[in-house]
Amino acid sequence: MRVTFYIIFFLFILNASFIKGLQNNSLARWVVEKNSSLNIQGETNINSFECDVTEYLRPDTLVYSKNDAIKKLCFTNSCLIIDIRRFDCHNKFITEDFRNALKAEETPNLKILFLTIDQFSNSCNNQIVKGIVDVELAHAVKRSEINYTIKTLPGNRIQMNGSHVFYFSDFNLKAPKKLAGLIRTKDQIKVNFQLFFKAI
Amino acid sequence: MQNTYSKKINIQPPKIFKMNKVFIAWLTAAILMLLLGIGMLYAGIYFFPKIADEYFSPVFRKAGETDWTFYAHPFILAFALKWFWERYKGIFEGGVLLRAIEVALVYSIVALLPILWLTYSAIDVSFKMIVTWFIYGFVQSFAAGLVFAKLNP
Repeated sequence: MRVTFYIIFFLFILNASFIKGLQNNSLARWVVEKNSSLNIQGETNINSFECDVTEYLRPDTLVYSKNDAIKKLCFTNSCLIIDIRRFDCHNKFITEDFRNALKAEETPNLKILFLTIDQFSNSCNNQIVKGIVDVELAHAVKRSEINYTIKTLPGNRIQMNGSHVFYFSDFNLKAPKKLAGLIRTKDQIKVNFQLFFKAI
Repeated sequence: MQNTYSKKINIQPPKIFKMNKVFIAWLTAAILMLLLGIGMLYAGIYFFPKIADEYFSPVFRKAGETDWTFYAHPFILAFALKWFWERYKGIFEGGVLLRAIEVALVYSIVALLPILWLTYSAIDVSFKMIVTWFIYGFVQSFAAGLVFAKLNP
């Protein structure tokens, strides 16, 4: 009798905490808008270059649960997929070489898997928040902490800007080199992004 | 006895010395051409970056296992020019500078111009790039001519 009581009591406590947890973590979605863009800045020993993808054509959605107590967003299976073959470096030689360096033919997708965003509030104007993403390129994954500038826009829209420095070597890639290494691209590249989401 | 003595007087320098001189001239010319080649490439990058960007074109091999072949090219060119110099130096008359210019002109017109013409017709490189290669080749062969005219006149 006593054991049965304890089991029922334990189940009651468990259920109560589960319900409380649900109240704290609300599930929500952001749809990635078409005008989102990604820009990569790099340097060679000749010039600097910029490669852009100015349209996001995939209908991706980011799903997250929000912990109101600590204002933290935890994403579940939420990733952006960018086709490397659509990178335009505004110079046909560099565009082709850059795509080759990223192994665009073997693995054409650059995946950005959103994990968390800290200190997020629904009404913010150029607020800087920290987030963690996994970037997958050429079968290699690099976890990075990124500072986003978040701005809420009319119509339940969110603008998220950020940038991060990566290295070709982070993804086991080699920065392009020609003419026995006399012509070379620097290992470091800066990735800037401007993402627009619609909250649904 | 006198006959034997006079024969000894007329002895030519041992062949090994002549070979040494040829070798030193070849090596000096090759190293000078290598340095000039790298120097001119960097000058090209500095003054004509738009043209130099073309080296990122896929027609150019990626740096890797064959890098040594690039650095070996002045040694091969110096060898060919040295052979040419030893065989035909008699027809180049005048001072060191004039003889060097003549060597450079002969190499550029006889060897460089046709092969670059063929390269331009067959490979996707711009005319400006071809012109830079012609200038590189002319300057390199002029430097080799200077070395040969000075060390092996």
